[in-house]
Amino acid sequence: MEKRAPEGKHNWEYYKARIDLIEFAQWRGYAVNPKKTSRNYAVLKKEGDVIIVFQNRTTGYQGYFNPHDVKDTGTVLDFEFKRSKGDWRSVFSLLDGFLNESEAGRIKINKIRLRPIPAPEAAFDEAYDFGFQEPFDLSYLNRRGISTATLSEEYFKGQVFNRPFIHNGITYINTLFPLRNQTGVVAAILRNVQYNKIERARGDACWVSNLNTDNTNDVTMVITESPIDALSYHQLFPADSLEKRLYVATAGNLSESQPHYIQYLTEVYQPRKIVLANDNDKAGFFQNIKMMGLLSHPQCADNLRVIIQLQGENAVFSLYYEGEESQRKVHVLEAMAEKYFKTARKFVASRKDGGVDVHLPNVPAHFEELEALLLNEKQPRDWLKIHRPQAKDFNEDLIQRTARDPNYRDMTL
Amino acid sequence: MNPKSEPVTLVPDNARAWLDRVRLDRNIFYNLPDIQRNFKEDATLARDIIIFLAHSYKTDLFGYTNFSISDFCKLMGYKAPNLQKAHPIFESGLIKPPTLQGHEFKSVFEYTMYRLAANNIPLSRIEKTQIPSMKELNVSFVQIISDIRVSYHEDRPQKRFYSFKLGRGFVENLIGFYVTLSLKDYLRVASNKNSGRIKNLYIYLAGMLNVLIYNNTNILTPNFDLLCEIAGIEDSLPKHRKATLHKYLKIIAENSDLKFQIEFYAEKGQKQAYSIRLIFDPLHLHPEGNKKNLFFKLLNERLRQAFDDRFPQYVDNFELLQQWLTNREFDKELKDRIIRDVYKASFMSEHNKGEDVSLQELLDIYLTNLNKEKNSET
Repeated sequence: MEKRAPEGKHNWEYYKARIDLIEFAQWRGYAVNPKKTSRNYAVLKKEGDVIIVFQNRTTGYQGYFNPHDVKDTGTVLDFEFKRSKGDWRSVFSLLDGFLNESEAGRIKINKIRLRPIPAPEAAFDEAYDFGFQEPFDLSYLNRRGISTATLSEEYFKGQVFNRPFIHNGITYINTLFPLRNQTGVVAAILRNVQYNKIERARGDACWVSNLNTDNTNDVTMVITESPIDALSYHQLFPADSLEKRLYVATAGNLSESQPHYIQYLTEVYQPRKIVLANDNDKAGFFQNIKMMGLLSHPQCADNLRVIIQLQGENAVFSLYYEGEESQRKVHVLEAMAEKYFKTARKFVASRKDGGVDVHLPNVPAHFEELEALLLNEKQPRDWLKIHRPQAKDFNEDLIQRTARDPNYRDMTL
Repeated sequence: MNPKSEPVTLVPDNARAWLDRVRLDRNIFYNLPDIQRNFKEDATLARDIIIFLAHSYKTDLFGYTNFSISDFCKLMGYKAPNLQKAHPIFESGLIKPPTLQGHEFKSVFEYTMYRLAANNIPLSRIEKTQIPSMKELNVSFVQIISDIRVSYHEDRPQKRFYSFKLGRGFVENLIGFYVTLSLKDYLRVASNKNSGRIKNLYIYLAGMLNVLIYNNTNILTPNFDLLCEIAGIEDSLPKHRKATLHKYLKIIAENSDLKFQIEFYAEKGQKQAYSIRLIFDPLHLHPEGNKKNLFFKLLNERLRQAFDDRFPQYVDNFELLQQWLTNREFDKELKDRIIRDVYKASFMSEHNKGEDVSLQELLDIYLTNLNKEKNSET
């Protein structure tokens, strides 16, 4: 690959293919945070500036995000461009300087190999205006039992909005919940009494409460299906004084790519515990297991992953141990399949990549068995917890509790 | 008797008799002395294991990969303690048994099984080339077993169960490139110290039956030296070799359904009678049931196709195919449907109508086999 394109311009691909962003950032004075660096992401810091580097599975190049600035994202060229005050001449001069030193063997930095992962699915669109307005009418949420005090908490500032609209001369007010990923807000949930819709494709985006990435000791991540469930959960089970909460709502059923973003959040916030607080119904039950199977503890060397595929009357649970020893763990997985799906009419197929596929009928009993397997075998134990609501979801629980306790109702005022 | 003048008599065989006829990879049949050379004192056991596995594949298609030591002993006429004792080569302690994950393949049976899995059997043939003075040595390697699992309870380690997967080439040859022999005859032709040699000879003769049927004759004229090599007869004097060979052939003729007369004669130019003529009883020369062979072939093909269609992600994974095939709990309805479909297709084929009853029997046997309850111990 040539350094310059035929028309004389710098060839970006040349630099993206040759420069390891983690090494380059270290050369520029950034230090790797080993506590927050995992197999998927490397976290580097320099005087309050934090970047998170990943290996883009699609392009094959490294990319980065800045958790404090959604606009600070891209490749090694974007990284240097944003830090060189937009001077391309100095960008290429620095990149060339790095390459010269690197090729001369003068840079001695331990290489960090990241596992290739998908880039964010949905992208922030600067031109699109969701019309978010600071909340001025909380009546809808109050009627759902969410107190104004809850909504005023730091966790939820800037994560709940209103947007009025006029129909037949009457002004109605929607409540909006922004859905974001690493690139920014890409979609929004629109709610009113009769309306529940997602504006723009959510892709991998989720609704996420506020939490400072610099202060991530004792974080509990609570995952719900809707932001209203998250707010309800917060109200029903307030965090104790030392505990910090990060609420994540998937806005309905988990999409194919949302686990990647939730995994990113677990790497950034390194929660001590993840509470799966999905609905107490078939879909919520399924969502809990799906997430338990997919999420990995950032520091766990032997992470058990389970991917669920449904094929009509059949289900396939693909069990796999991430890590260097995965090939040697086939027998462990086979024994696990035998132990937990003892009575199932199953076909346990050991794959050549070290994984084991358990083929069995698509019936609820086997999903319960899979839940037991994940709860017992996924390490570290108790990192993932299932918290099922009494009623259908935690908002119903909250409403029922409000109805039973007249004093509680006052809190919504 | 002029063999060419008499047609081959067709004796109707029932399904059980068809199942009793073991298919043996024709490569192994052609190279019986190679097994002797490779396994030496364990050659008889190695060959018996091969025959046992081949027999299981035909008679227990939906469970052939699992067996216990007592299953093997019961069918092949062994005493379990003899197989479970340590192999003599490890007695001195100079040679260590192969050990995997802490498990020692130390007993006579497990060590031989291990060798069948760990070493491909070299099968050699010297072939003539177009240049008269030039010969070509062709060595191909056959994998009999591709995977073994040994399971036992810690408090009863002597009661062992084995699971294995067969090599792809070996199985494919059981369907398309094989010779057949009667297990009953194979077991009864000999049980003395020379049984391995006599059994080798029996396999050769049984395998040649199809050649006789194909050529519409009942007279076999095998080469004297070849028969001696197959039977491992190594006496230095030809007359001693002849006497031993005659003895072995007589034992086979008297103790098996291969009814034949033995004649030694001198060919033109020979001073002594070292040419052999074996005259088989035409009543015992009958081809195998075509419909049943078709049933078995189609059944294997359709089951493989069903596996590939059902699990495109495992195409070409022959071990998983065997695992699926022998999993009686899973896809039972699909396998049942395939057996019935294959029966219909075989029934409708244009082969001998007289075979239809035994084909029905075969269908019942395979369905029963599929529906056999899982043995809790295995």
